[in-house]
Amino acid sequence: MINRRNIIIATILIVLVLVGSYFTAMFIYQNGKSVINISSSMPNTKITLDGKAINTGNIYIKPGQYLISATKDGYYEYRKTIEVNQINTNLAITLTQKPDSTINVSELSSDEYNKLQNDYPVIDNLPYQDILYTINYTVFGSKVNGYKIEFTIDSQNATGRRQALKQLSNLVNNPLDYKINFLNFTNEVK
Amino acid sequence: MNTKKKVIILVSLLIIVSSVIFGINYYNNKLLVKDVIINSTYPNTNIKLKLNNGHETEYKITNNSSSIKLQVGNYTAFYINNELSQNSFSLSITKDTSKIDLDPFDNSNQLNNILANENTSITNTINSLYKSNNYVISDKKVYHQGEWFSCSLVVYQINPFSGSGFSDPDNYDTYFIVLKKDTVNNKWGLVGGPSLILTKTGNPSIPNYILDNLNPTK
Repeated sequence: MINRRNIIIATILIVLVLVGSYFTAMFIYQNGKSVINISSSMPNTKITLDGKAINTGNIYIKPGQYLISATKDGYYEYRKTIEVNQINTNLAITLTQKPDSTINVSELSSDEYNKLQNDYPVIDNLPYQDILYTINYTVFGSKVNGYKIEFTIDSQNATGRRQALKQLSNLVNNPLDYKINFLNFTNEVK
Repeated sequence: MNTKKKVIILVSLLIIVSSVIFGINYYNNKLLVKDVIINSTYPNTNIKLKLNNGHETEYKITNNSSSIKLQVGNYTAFYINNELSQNSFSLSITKDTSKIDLDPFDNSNQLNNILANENTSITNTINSLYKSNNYVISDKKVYHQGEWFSCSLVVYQINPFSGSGFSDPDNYDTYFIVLKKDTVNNKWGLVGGPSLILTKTGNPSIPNYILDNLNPTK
């Protein structure tokens, strides 16, 4: 009976010591430091603070001046010197993509084409032809950034262009999320 | 002192120490009152904040920024200025929150008033951009706090065979444009279009709610 009681007491003691140690460590670690909340516009961004790798989220650091750097393949490097003071701050890292170029679909490997097909199932329904218009697509991007599609709408008259845009909304969820290029069309108010 | 007494004293001490540490952390997380800097894009914003426990308080953000003491928690907020949209929204104050940026929208009455006041200036800007007479401006709308404007330009041509113009749908395209008022010189400038469709990928500087409103595929 005594042994059993001792085991229970010992277990409680260990749990209390562990919990107490955790909160004490947190208290000591955070004491006198400022919180900087770091977020990135892109996942899997490599972020460094004065050369040391860090993750997104709350970082506890002493007040002072720091250099934040962020890199990701296919994007320009982000560098910013921040002044951390007693006031907690947020830093939103926005990476700028390097420009992509249009490529021929036949240049894609089968794996790359399969991925494109998976990302844009609409391409299985293209070209979509109507008596007044044709909707098709071109591919742009790079191996690093991945490939995207741009819709092309080919029509000789305004009615065809209007109908093609309506049809496009039946083919994809939101046409505004895509690049759209009109062929055989002159912008009259440019 | 026997072993049993020693254990009881030790356990009691540990419970007290742990309770104090728990208490500090609970205070930091749940009961802490924070000095939060609230910035607003609208000058002299009046806002009502209702904590989830039902406590409701009004605050005035002087000019565009004020420091306000707020208890950590989740709030329902809405603006009480007559000119602003009073749709409620959620605000979460945590122990790490030091700053909140508010971006109120004018209500429809206020936006209509702004459009009426700016109409001549906007029309002059559009006419200076496009000298041709063969277009009709329609669907004028201003957004946010009146600094964004969109409209459609219905551009028609005279069919050389039938002689028809605006009456024949084959003869006109509808273009969309977005203007923004410069905060420094108060002049309207073109930021999007003219285009048959203003996509989000092609116009990252224009808020999505404006582009969605101009979506011709709807």
